[in-house]
Amino acid sequence: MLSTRAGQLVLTSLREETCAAIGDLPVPARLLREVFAVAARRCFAGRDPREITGYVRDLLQRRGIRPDGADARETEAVIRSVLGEPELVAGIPDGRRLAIMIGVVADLARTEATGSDAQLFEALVEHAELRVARFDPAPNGRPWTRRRPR
Amino acid sequence: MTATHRVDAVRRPATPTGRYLRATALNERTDELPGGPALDVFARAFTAAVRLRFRPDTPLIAVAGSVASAARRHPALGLPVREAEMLIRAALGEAVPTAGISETQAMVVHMVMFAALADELALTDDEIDELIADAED
Repeated sequence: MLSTRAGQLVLTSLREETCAAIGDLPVPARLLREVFAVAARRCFAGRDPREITGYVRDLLQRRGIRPDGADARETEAVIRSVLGEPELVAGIPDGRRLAIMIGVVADLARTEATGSDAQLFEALVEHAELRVARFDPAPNGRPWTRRRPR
Repeated sequence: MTATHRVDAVRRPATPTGRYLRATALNERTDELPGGPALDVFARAFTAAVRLRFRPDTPLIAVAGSVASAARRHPALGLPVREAEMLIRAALGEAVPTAGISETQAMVVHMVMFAALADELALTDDEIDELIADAED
């Protein structure tokens, strides 16, 4: 069960495969990045990054997009950025990154799905919501970083 | 030090482009400018340096590390990192997406990465000259 409004918006974006629902809202965009990190790491972590090159080529071919140009380089870079190479996405605009993330998550969910896409999307978003709540600093800081009153 | 790159009879760069590339790799001033079809020298010297530095099965993290290091070292040159990695992998024989890389981007990659890889390999001046002279042939 999704617990946040941002989660609902991300789910809508994944189902529709567009950024329209998220727009330029920062909280859903943050959650989408986490959804993407979960999906990409569960599929590619520990594997030779050259497998990502092949995956991207297949993905773009399936979608009728030229598989040997800038779209391929950017998509590979966005995937590898959540696998420990964040510098690869320098110069790719935020909106473009989010669009790539939605396309990749939608594709990976279809490829990996054992049930319906919708169930897997929901599970991914729930997992991401938990991770955001767990790892993002609270606005007033972590308890152990708060200054003690004198 | 190994004898892998030992050079017996040193040839020197003979073209303005070759001498410009040499100056870049040695971090020296030059008044000569590269130009014309001789820019292919950059590409051939780059390929030779890539094949000295990396094997086709080199982990990509090592390739990306070299590119990131070169980009940090020359921030003003705007090394296109994704294109640089793909051109290195292409030089190693891998089928990778290189379409749409502009001539300017390719030239920056060839020049900056040649200098960076020569540095990583700790090539001597003579060895650099030999690589460039081979590329001019």
